[in-house]
Amino acid sequence: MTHPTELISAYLDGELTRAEVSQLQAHMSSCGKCVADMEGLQKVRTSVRSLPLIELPPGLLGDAEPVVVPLRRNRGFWVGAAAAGVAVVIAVATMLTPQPTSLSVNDLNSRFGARVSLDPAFGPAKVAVPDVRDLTE
Amino acid sequence: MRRAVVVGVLLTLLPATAASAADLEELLDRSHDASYSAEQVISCNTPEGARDAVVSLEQVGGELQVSGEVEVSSDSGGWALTSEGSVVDSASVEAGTNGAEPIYRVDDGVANPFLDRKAGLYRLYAGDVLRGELIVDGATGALLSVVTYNADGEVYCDRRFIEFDPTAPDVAVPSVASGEALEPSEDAAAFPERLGTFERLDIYEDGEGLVFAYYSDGFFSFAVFKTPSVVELTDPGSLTLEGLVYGRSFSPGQVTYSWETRNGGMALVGDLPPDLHPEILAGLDQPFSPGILGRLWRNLFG
Repeated sequence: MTHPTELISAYLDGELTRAEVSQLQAHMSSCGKCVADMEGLQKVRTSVRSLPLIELPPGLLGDAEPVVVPLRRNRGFWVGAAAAGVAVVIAVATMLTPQPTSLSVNDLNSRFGARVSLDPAFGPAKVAVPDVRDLTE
Repeated sequence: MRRAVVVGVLLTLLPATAASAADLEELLDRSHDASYSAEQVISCNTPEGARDAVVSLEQVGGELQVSGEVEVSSDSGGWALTSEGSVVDSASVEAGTNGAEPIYRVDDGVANPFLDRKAGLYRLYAGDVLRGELIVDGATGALLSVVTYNADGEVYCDRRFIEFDPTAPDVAVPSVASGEALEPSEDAAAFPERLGTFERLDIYEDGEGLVFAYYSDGFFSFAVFKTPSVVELTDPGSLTLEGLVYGRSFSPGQVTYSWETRNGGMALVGDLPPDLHPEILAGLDQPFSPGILGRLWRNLFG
């Protein structure tokens, strides 16, 4: 017989659903061990809660901050899955999105050169030599 | 035309007596109309090191062909880059405004023989700042040498002929006009009317989402481009102004900037001495890096 030890603890914390409470009560109606466990656990909790509160000396905890621990550990799975989904959407969108027209240095040079040829200063004073490395782009 | 003739006469007399002052427009007009063949050395001292080249020039009237590692042909509004016999790129524009009123004062010319030819040396000043020295051939008006300066007096670019043949080239410069010429746009609000001492002359828009404006101060000039995406420079350096980084590349006689903005990309191409760059860049859209998600958003929704 399997004893639902985790359900007992959750029951005392008020974390069980109605269905889980019914399931636990049904089990305990025929399981003396679990009844005894629950009573023992209840006593421990009562004893702990009856301990006096003491004030900690200043600086004992330093800059420690409270940490919120998720009740259900499988939440990390869903966060990871969501992140992966977003990454896939971004990747697909990036691949499918038409990129803006790619212009090269030559495109700039040609337009500048055409306009310069109309400039009164056009001639030896305006001669410029394109970088041949731009031709391979 | 009458002014050009007067300047021509004065230049012819230069070796005998100091010439009278001429204005820059007259000097440039005469050079523009000259026909000759020449070898030109271009030596530029840039913040990113020396940029040098030797090219062959053939000019017939307003048409110019430059031959070096590649070949560039220009005529009135046309430009073509040829490599190994194939046209790599070309463009054609129509002018809305021919030129800006020069901001420069030209001093009295002095006789300055060059390549065993009668020639005159003219200095260009912006206020009290020497910006250029032109050596003008007495017979043809061709610019035999052009030296441009930074404001601190350091030479930026030295362009000088090492060979000069004043006869018109036998081979006519090929026409480079191809396709439909871009006409000036009316979208004047896209670019500042002035950048520093430079006046905006024309704005053009082509079908590839590229818009550009042409600026001049009567001698130096540049174009500012707005592009859908940033233009990648080959092996770029950079200029940082007040924490903003601009990609920059120098080639012999020319500087190119490129940077990303909130709306796409911007670029600048021109023949400006480096000390003029900061004031001009400060008048344009600032560099901006949108990050991966921002870039995706821009790609998706513009």
